[in-house]
Amino acid sequence: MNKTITANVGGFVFNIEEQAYESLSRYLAAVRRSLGADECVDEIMQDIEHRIAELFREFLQKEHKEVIGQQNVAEVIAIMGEPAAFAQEESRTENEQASTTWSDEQTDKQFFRDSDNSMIGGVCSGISAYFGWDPLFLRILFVILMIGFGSGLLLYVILWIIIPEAKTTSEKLRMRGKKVDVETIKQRFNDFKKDVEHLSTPEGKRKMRRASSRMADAMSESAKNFYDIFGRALGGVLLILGLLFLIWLIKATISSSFMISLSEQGITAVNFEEFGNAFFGTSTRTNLVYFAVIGLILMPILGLLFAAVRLLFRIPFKTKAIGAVMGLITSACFITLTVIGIQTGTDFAKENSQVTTTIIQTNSDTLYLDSSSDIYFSDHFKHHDDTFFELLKFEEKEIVYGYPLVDVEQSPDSNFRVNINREARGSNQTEAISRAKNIDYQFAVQDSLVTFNPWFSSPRADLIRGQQIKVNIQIPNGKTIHLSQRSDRIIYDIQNEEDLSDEDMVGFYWTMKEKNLHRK
Amino acid sequence: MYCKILFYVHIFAMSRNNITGIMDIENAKAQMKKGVLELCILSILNRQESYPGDIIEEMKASKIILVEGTLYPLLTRLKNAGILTYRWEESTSGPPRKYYKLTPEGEEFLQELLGAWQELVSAVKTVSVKKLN
Repeated sequence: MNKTITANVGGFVFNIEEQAYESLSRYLAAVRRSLGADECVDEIMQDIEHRIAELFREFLQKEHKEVIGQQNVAEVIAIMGEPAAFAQEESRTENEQASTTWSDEQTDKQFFRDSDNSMIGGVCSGISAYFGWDPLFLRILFVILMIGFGSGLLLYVILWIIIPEAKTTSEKLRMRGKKVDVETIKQRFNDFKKDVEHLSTPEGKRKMRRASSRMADAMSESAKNFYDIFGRALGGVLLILGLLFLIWLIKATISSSFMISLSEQGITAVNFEEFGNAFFGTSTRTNLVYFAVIGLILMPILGLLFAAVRLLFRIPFKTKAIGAVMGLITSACFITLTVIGIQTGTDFAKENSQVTTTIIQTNSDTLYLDSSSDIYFSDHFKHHDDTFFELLKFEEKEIVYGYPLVDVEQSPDSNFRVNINREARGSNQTEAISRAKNIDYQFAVQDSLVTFNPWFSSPRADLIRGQQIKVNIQIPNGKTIHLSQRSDRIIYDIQNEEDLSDEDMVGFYWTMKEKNLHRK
Repeated sequence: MYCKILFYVHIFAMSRNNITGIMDIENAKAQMKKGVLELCILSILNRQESYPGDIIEEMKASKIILVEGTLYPLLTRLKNAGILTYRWEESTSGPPRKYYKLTPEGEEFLQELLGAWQELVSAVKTVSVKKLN
C-alpha cells in the first residue's frame, strides 16, 4: 500500500504515488532549470505539462488503474528525455553528464499558499510545505494565537492576502522545494574538491565547468540556506522552551495536589481533590477536570518538543498519526472541560438570599461589636487580603468558610438590629433557597455586646455554591457603635464620615448621624 | 569573493577550451542533428498541420531525435520568432492540443533553409569524394 498525492498536471487532476510524485517534482524542476532564463520558459513548461498529462491519461487507460506510479513517471521521463535534453545550447555529451546529477539538485523554493491541503486559506499548509513541517502544529499555534491573543486572526488574514496561491504544478513544486541541509552542502564541496583534482584531464575540465556553475547555483541559493539555518535555530529555541514548559508542568502536577501552596505562615492549604469534589460535585468529575487540564497544557508542549526535534534532527516521524492522536486528545480534553464547566456553571444560575432579623434588647446607647476567637483559620490576617482558598476548610461533614461581611447602616427606628443575610446559588430557586437556609452561622448577644463568629459553614452535600454571610447592623440615629480591635476581620466596607478604611476604624466609637458614622 | 572570481576565471577558461579543443564523435553527431532539426520540423509542418505528438512520431521513425523534450522548447522559440503559428484543438484523450503550422514567413524561411541544405549536401559530397580520390 502506498500513499498517494493529488496533483494538478497541465490542468488535469491525477492521483500520484508519493514517491512517484517526488520524482516527477524533481524532474520538472530540473527541466525548468535546464531551460534556463528564457522568457518563454513558462509556456514551454506548460506544453510539457500538457504532454505529461496526456501520457498519464494514456497510461491509466491502457493499464486500467487510477494511480500514477513510479514506473509511469520513469516512462514519461524516458519519452520526454533527461532534463538536459531540453537545453538548446549545450552539446550532447555535456548534457549526458549533467543529466546524471539532476535528481540530486535542489529546486527553487518559494512561499505559496497550499490550497490543495488547506483548512481555511492554505496559509499554514503552504508555510509547512515550504519548511517540510506538518501543518497541524502551525494550525494549533494559530488557534492558540487566535484564542489566547486574538492576534492570530489578523496575522492569518494578512498572510492570506500577501502569500500567493500555488496554482500551477510548477508552483506547487517550488512551494515544496527540496530540503537543504548541511549534508547536501558538504556534498557540493566534496564534489568540487574531486573536480579540482581531475582538473588536468580533458574530461575533468568539462566536469570543472559543471561544478563551477553548480557552485554559483549554491551561492545564489545561500539565501535559501539561511532559511534552513533559521529553521534549525528555531528548532533549538523550541526545544529549550518545550523542555522548560515540561519541567514546569511536572513540578506543577506534583505540587498541585495542594491547590494553594502553603501560605507564608503555613496555616491553610486546600487539597485539590477535596475542593474539586466540593466544586464539581463528584470525584469522577474532579479527576476528569484534573486530567483534562494537564492534557491541555501537555499537548502544546509535546507539539513544541516534537516540532523542535523534527526541525533539529529531521527525523521522519509519522507526523500525521501523531498529530491526529494529539489533536484527538486535545479536543477530548477541551470537550470534557466545556461539558463539566457548563454543568457546574448551571448550578450557579439562581441566587437566593435568606434574611433573619434580630432586635437587640438593650438600654445602652452604645452597641459593642466584637469577633470571637478564630478557631478555624488564624488570628493572623491581613485585612481581607486572604484568598478564597485560604479561607476554606473541609471538615468531616461540612465546609467551613472564612469571614462573613459585616456592614453598619442607620436603623429605620430606635432599635439596634442585626440582619443576617444567608446567600447561596443553585440551578433553580428551590435549590438556592435550601442551600441558603443550610448555612450555619452563629452570633451571641449579651445585653449590648454582640459577638460574631468569623466563620460560617454549610453541609458538604451542598457543595461550594456561592455561600456567603452578609451581616447588616442597624444603628438608630444618634446612637453609637464600638468596633473592637478584633472585629477588623469581619467588618467590610463600612461607610463613615472620615472615609477611613475598615482597619483604621477599629478601636473607636462611632455615632450614627444622618446616615453616616462620625467618630466620637 | 575570492572564490567567486576564481570560478568566473574557470568558466572563461573552459568556454575557450570548448571552442578550440576537445571534439568527440558523439558530440559532432549531436551537433549535426541539432543543426538539421529545425529543417526537419519545418518540412513536416509544411506538409500538414500537426501537433507535437505527430511530429515526434515521424522524427523518431527517422531517428533524428529520440526524446520529446528537445521538441517543445524549439517549437516555442520558432513560434515566438514568427515562423510558426498554432491553434488549439480539443482532444478526447487529455488536455487540448496545439496544432502548429507555418506562417508565410515560415514558408520563406524553410525555402531558404532547404536551399542552403542542398548547397551543403553537394558541398560535402564534392569535398568527401575529392578526398577519397
